Amino acid sequence: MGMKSVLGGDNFITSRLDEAVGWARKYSIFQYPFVTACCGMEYMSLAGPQYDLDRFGAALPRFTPRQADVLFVVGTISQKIAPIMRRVYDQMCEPKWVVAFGVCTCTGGFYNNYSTVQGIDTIVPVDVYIPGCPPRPETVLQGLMLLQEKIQKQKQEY
Amino acid sequence: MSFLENIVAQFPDHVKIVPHPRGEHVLEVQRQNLPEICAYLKNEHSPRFTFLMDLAGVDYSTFGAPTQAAAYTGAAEPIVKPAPTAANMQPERYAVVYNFFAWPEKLRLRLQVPVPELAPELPTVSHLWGGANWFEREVWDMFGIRFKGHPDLRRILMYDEFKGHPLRKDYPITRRHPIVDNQKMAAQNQNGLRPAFRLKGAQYGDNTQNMLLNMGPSHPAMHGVIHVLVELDGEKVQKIKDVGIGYLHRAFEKDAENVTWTQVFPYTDRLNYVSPLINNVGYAMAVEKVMGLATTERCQYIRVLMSEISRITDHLTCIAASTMEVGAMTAFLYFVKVRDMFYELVEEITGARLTVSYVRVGGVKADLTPEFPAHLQKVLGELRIAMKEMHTLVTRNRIFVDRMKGVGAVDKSTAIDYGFTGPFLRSTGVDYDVRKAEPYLVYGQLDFDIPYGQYGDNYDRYLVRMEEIEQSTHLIEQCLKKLQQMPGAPLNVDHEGKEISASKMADLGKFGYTKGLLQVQALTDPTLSGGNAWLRDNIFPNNKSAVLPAKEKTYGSIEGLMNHFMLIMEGYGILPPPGDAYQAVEGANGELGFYVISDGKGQPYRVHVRPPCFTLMSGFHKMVEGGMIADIIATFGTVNMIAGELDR
Repeated sequence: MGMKSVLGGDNFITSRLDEAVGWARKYSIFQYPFVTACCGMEYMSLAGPQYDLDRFGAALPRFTPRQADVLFVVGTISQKIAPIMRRVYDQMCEPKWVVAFGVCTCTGGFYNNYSTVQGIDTIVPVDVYIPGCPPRPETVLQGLMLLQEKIQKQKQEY
Repeated sequence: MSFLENIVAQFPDHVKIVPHPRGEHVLEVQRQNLPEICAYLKNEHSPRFTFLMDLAGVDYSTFGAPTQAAAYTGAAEPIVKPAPTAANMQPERYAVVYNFFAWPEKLRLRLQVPVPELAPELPTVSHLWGGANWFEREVWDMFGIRFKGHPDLRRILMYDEFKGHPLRKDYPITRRHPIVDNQKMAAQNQNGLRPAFRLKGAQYGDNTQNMLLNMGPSHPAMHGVIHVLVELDGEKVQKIKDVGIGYLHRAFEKDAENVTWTQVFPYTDRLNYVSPLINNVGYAMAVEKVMGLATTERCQYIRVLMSEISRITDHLTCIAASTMEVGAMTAFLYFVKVRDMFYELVEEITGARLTVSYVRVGGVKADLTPEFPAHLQKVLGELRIAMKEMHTLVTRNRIFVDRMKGVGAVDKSTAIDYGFTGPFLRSTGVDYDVRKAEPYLVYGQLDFDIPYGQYGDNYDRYLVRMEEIEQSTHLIEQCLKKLQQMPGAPLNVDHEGKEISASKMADLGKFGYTKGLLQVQALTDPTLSGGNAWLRDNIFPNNKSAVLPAKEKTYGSIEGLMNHFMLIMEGYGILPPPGDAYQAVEGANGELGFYVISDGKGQPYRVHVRPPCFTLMSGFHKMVEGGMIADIIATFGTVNMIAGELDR
């Protein structure tokens, strides 16, 4: 809003500005790792030197939802933790994205029982699904690049 | 006269010996006299059973009944039973099983206490063992068995809104009670997740107030998900009001009852996901104990080798994470680098980095690859470099030592009272390690030491873990040397003697071009579920009722196909005889016990895990009360709580 008024709200400029803002946003992803389970081990590898999430501008985890852009839901979500995850999501500022890391968060995986949530998209909207039990770091990097693409292409709110 | 008869002589009317085919010591006890007998076992009996290792509930209501088909998919209707009355109730529907351990006499004893269906209630033993508190809460939560006199009988793994007791046999596996009601969510926030508020500090008069603070369930240092409610006086921890667990309860024990014996392996991977191979081995050994199955020597060496690799990755992860949490990010990066190398090594053998499902009942999935020894040596070299770097970086680092030394200290008697095991117990000066105390597999033939500490503080735990990595390296080298003396792995050949790939060989079999495939001894890719036909004999016992045939036999001959089919189809799979067994292995965190009950069918009747960090967390308040709030982070790091096995 502010930028538009400064720049006079010209259509030509805003469409170019959209791209610039998207470019800036996709390379400065501040993520909130909501790590619950096994996938967290691959998440550690991902942050480690071998796979190095920093190359994508996404290496800085913020442990408060108010500073985060992307919610990484890493690991099984049980019925007991579900309301807490929703609360974390609600506390994040717009624009925000959600990545479902691992098959438990996508569909519930092979846990189909009284205590597991069958996919986090029953609770929060999901932007990128990364299947795998747990997904290999390469898979996650691809998922991250897909998210970057999505961020770049979407209409930017500012 | 055995010690069991001594106990029976002491309580002739209330105790009787249960004969056990695998030589475990089991007694059946009347529930009215339980506290009295437990007190005798703990305080007066010689040897004294000072450890309460495990406490499990069992619901025997469908023992031996026909299997419910398709229960897993949720298609089966729940059994609607009339409410139990005095007339139609089962007098011994439930049982509560107590596993005791006497140290240093290394004696195990199991008590079985039958509990009736109507008014299931037992006297508590939580006044005798601190560790019994949480165990009893779990049995109440899962089975609805009340413990009379328990100080704090609340749900532990499930939440207050949950209706029913999920491990009862008449509870359908997919019946969910989601927390969707906003009001209920608000109520939960009020009860469990209270915002910080102030309490009156009675000891200082009305001028000062204590503060309640929530740590978790989503907190960077509470890796995994756990909720600690602390009462603070300034920065000092006055009291741990509550430790909330169960946020990662994935119903392992219920799932295990609804799949076949072999299908439990993937679930065991995800118990302690930092060292999945040890869980695999523990479960397989428990089932083998029920079946009376002996594994081959080569298989045992491979199991030890893989367990020790898992132990190293576990300790690397624990040290990496806990040093990072006290500020040493470099140390984290160094260790994660090496851990990734070990993951690649594990992948080479098992096909997966983390969730391996490598062990089978009776053996392991595949033999080692020919290149494995060279790769292993290389990674061990890297590990040594990283260990040296780690010692240089943090072991004598003033900041690190100040954060660790004298922090989170626990003495021997408290540790034993709560049933601590593993590196944590050893840091207090008790050199109990299952690998030495009850050598399983080939640990008895290998040369290694058990490091133990003196003060039971964080620094000792760190040093014990570092030394255990060294000892595991030593063990791995011995296993590898031994394995290399055994026959090596040949290449794949078809019936003309030409080398072919494993996938091509399987394809040939699928298309029916099987003529001649069995004429030679062929080898499928060791990392696939093939192994090879004759090396398989080295890693599997010759028992067709437990072991899947080699893949080339399945695809290459009708006998192999039938054998495979009969083993895989439900009800024709592995059928252990009715009975139970408790098998303990030394997990990376401590004694990892599997208590398995079979009723002679293709599915386990009950699989109970004794997770080492469950007891550690139940005594968490003993480590941090009286310390500073920042020390909670350091101590929690060295406890190495793994949510997967804590909550199951």
